[in-house]
Amino acid sequence: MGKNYAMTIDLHKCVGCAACSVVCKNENNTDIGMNWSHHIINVSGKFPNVKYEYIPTLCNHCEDAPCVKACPVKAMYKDENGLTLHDADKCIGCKSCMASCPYGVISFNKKDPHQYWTEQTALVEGMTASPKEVSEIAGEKLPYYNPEREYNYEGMRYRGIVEKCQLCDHRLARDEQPYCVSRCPAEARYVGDLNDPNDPIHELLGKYGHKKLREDLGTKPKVFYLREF
Amino acid sequence: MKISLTKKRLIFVIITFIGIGIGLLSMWNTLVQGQVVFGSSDEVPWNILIVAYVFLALMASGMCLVSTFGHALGFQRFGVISKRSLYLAISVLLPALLVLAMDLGRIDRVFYFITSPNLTAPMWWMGATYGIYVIVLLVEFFAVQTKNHRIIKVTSYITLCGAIAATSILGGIFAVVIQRPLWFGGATSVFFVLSALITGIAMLLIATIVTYKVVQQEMSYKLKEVLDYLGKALAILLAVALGFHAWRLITLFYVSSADFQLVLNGEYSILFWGGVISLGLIIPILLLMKNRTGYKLVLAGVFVLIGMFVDKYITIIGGQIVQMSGEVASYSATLTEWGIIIGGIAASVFIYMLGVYKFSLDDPGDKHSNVENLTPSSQKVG
Repeated sequence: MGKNYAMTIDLHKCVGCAACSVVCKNENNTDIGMNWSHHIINVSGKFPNVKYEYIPTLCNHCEDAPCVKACPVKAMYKDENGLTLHDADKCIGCKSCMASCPYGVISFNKKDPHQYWTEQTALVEGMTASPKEVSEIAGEKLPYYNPEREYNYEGMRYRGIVEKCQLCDHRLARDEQPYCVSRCPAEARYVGDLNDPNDPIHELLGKYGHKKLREDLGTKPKVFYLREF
Repeated sequence: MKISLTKKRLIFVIITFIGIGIGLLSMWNTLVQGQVVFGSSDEVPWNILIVAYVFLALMASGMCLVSTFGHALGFQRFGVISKRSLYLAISVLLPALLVLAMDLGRIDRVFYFITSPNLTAPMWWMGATYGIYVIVLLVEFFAVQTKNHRIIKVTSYITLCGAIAATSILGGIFAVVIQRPLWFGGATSVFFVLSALITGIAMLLIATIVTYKVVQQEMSYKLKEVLDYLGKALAILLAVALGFHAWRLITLFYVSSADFQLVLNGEYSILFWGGVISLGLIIPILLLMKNRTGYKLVLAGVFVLIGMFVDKYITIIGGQIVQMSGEVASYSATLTEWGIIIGGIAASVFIYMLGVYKFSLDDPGDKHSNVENLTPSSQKVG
């Protein structure tokens, strides 16, 4: 039996620092304005009785994923480990997945990413190299990026296709936690296998009350939010 | 019928070419720069090109349905308008598909529709049905042109099913998205078929009457009678659409979603109450109630088209702007998007003009049927 990965995010531990979002960009080479790991902020009530909620969001890797059903060419698919993955080579950029995703966590590449590296003006003329020069001398389109992402997905996605959180499947493949999990300073996140009865995820889910986003839609999301305020 | 190119007509042709030019430039702009030239975003992924495509594809299906009244369903009265209707359907659908293609990020990969089909995706079914439907439509027109009645009969049955299937599947793309209250539910698909008939008839009325005006020909009695029927049918269909809107509002009232507020008294309320309900439904119904002169039919048709376009805009764009977090995103169409739409419409007009010039879209048996030798039909409805 394959694995069935799921994530827990302990909202009592989460400090809302957005480190998850920042390190996700490092790991997955996402462009400015594109966040596989994102957040919702809800401020409600009236001073002094104000409630502030910071809810980290990412692809919920739904068991019954609407994006997988809606994609006309099977570019969105469920893998054997229960992850909802995107095949960059197949995507035709029709945005059906985006329209059908209830969580709004899929992004579309309107242009080739990281165009900073095509700029020809140097920061200090005559002293520093222009981004384009650096790129040319390094012999890489993007000199500074994480090549590990290329292990099983397009290292940097390109114009005309969508992209979304792959739950760092390249890290899970070598038994490492996703980067957002391992770099969370509050250790609020954990990814475990729901099919393994000995996995600590069952202890977390058993110990704390938990909720999921828009459970009413029947998508069976697999990001569990522990301990709501 | 030989049509000479007078100065007035030449100006019309030139305007059409300018429209096509604008469209080609906008398409080039999109292909070179990518979709940065579009107003869509990660929050509002589908833009006004999708609205225009839905509007035009529905219009084409509607006209195709009218053509099958004569060809397949045996309402011989409608035979006089079948050929024009069929040709119009083709001339609207082909540019509409091009408009849709411009919204695809990777148009070069459309072959995956064949090599990697996903049968649970309404988008795939839409692609498949429209693919077959377009080809059969072209075959049907070829058969009409060569007067092959057997093929006309067979193909018109297929296009009848194709038009309804394609239209309702197009609605299905929206109808299956549960979290968007303005989209979800089987009624969306049914309303798309109704919208198709409404927009199709409206366009057919405008195109037929304007064409006869431009080529300065007198309509036959039979044709006038059919147009009058279509006007009456349009009024009835509009009343049904009004009922549909009423029920949609009532059901949304019980759900009381943010999307409903947008339509009822929010961002889209003026467009909805003014554009869709008043201009697009109530005023045309009043215009079409009695004394359906050519002028009134065209005017009502234009209002209906505006109303239906705005309706699709509110459904498609308005359906997307409310986010999961409750935030309301914004969208405004860019010049390039409008350029592509103008190009698409101009291309439709051009293909139609070519048809009027080349293929003689009138019913050939219609020439001599004047009021003198036509006995009042006992089949007359109403």
